[in-house]
Amino acid sequence: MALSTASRLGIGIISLSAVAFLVLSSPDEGVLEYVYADTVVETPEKFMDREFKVHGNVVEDSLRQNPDTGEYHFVIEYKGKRLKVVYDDLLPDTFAEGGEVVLTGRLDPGGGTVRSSEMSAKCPSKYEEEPGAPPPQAS
Amino acid sequence: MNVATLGTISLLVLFALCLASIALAMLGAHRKSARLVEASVQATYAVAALAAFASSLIIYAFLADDFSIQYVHHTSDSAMPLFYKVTAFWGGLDGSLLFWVLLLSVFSALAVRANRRRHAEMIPHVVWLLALINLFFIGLLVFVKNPFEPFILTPDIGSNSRGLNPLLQNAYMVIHPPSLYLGYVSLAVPYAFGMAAVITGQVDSAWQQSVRRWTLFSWTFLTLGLILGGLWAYEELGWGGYWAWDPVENAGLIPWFTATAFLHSMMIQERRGMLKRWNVSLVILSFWLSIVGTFLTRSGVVQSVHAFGKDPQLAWIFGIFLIVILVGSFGVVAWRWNLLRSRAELESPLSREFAFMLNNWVLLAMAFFVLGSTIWPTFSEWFLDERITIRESHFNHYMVPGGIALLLLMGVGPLLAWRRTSTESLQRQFLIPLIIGSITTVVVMALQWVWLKGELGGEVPSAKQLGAAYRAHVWALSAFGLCGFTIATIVQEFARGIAVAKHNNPKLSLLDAGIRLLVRARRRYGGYIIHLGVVLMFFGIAGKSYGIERKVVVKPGDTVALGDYEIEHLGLRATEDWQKEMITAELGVLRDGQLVDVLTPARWWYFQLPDQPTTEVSRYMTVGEDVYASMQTVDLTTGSTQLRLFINPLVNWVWIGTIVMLFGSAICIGTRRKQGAEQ
Repeated sequence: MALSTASRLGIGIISLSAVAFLVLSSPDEGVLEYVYADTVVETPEKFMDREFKVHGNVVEDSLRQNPDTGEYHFVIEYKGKRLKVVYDDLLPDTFAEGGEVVLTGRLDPGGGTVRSSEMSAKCPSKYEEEPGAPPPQAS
Repeated sequence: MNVATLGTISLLVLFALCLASIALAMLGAHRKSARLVEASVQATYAVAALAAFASSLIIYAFLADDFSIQYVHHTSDSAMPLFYKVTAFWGGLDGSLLFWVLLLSVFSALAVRANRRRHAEMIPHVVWLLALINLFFIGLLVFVKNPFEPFILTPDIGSNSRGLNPLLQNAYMVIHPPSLYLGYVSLAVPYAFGMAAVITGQVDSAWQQSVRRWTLFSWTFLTLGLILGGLWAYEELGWGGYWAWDPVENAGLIPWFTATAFLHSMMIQERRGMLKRWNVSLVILSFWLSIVGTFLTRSGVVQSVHAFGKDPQLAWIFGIFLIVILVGSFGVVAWRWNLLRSRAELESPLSREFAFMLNNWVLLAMAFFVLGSTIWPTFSEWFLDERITIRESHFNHYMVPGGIALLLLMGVGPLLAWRRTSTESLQRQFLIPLIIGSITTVVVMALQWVWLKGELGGEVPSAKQLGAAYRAHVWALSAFGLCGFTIATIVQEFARGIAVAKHNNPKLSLLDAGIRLLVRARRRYGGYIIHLGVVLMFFGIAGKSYGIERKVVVKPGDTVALGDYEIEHLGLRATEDWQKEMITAELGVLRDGQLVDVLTPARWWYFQLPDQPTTEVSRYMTVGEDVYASMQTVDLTTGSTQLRLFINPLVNWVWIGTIVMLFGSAICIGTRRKQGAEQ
């Protein structure tokens, strides 16, 4: 390249600064840990103070709704370990007792309850390899 | 002979023919035998014809309700409308692979036919390379995923098979996957020509001229396919947005970046013989990333609601294919590295060449960022034993500034001169756009002040509050300012072009002069229209920063506030048709007390899938915003309705921008006639 040294240095500094700025100003919660309910029950200390994703099966007959606040209370379990959930948003379309859910939330100071406002749910019949079942936005 | 057997045989023959075309082309190239090469070309045409035949067979099987074929049984239903029976062809994995083969076969035939005389030396390599790619997919069909696979014992359930998921029975299923496939598969053509050029040592612009239209064609359909996917999600899925950085969405987006870079970078090679190494690398990467996209979507390597599901066998097969392509392609490039030296040097950062190179870097960085972030969770799980998820905020944090950088380059690039922009030229080109851009920024900041005042109930915002508001919306504000700047550059270019046309021919009207520009310098002005479309899309996307979302539970008679509107629950309706049960909520949209529209969000329970109701979205669309409602659950006994309500400012500009972009592409691609009289 016939660029002068000054130009090259300038370009290098600007580019690196831009990238550094982006990386350093990154919000903490872009990357979340994803665990199953049994891990949270066994080692709750690891999950205090931050948001995480927890995966479990909704225990049958555990769903209640607080009529005043609209909050949902239910229990999820994985490999026998149970975790209480307080969920304050609308239930997703595919939510069903007995089905799998993934909740994004925080652990209560007590360690036995997860508070969440974000849930995704797979319906009890799994998609697996059914052709045509999920939208095939494929390349 | 039944369809299943005929179909399987035709696939076997297809495999053999494809293999033959590879052998003939390779031999023909090696022995420089025109006859062998011609034979390979004919074989390519035969492959296309046979692929078309096999495809028509599977469509026939659908139309004839041939449920002895597993694929038809899984994805169709005798009660399904004809339209959707046809689209079920590409609805499932096996069929989508056949669809891929069909497209690749046809494109190969077309590309070879169009170029067999002009690039006689490269053609044999183009033939065997395209055929080799095709062979991989045909091989998959023959050995692993045969769409014609019959049941050993035909299942006893008569005409009721599983049928296509109702979520897929809409018009988007017809256009979104084909558009995306058209984009991806067609990337193989520039790739093949690029590799042929490198192999034969003919690395100057000649190969690019033959693929210029293809590349634009690919890019247009890729862009369209991605946007249709977003529009589909927006209209059908009810979460209020159109892009979620889901792994399958990302799989489609990643090759788009390098394809865009390639499209632009080619111009530099054409004009100044520079960036040859960039260009071959970009075309290899674009093709390779499109296969990576397919791999990610089908292998189950990444978790996604869109994915076909886990398939380790397919994952391995694709994985090896990907490694072979990458190593083989870059190996050839490495062999010819010296030949790909630039003819000229970069002389100044204030040059169009530099802007385009920056463009390449930004797009490449974005592609690898998205790719890395998409597969990082999988890597983390396999190698670090730590399962993580990456959220939208992570993507947006890096991609939004990247987008702003692209928007800036889009405005600045066309204004810079080749080699070095003189000071006078800088002034002449940048003055008006900078003024307009600054005015736009000031206006938008003032509007933000007004909006904030409204939010505070009429109180004048303090400097601190205003500062916080500006910081929160900094990217949107920058985007608006840059939109103003870039539109000014486009208008300026047109104005100057029209002035010149009228100067040469004073009797022309403005419109005629404009049209003459589009016809005579199709690529340049068509390109500007494409850019205009993209600017409008950025404008639409920036509006998201000011969106409002509310999740409410209401009963008939209740009213909720939503931005400048009020939403009143007018009642529920329960209806039924031959396919489904429907519950619809009627929501009055009021502005200043006046009813402007009635929204009808609904939930549908298809008889065929009683456990998976679909959400039907309802919107009130204006140029300035969408008022968008989707219904979550409803209790008919109490009337209690869970709703998600959104105000999506400026969202329709994304779709308007898309149409403008398509118009620009049509002009650029144009007709065959005036290929010489350009720029």
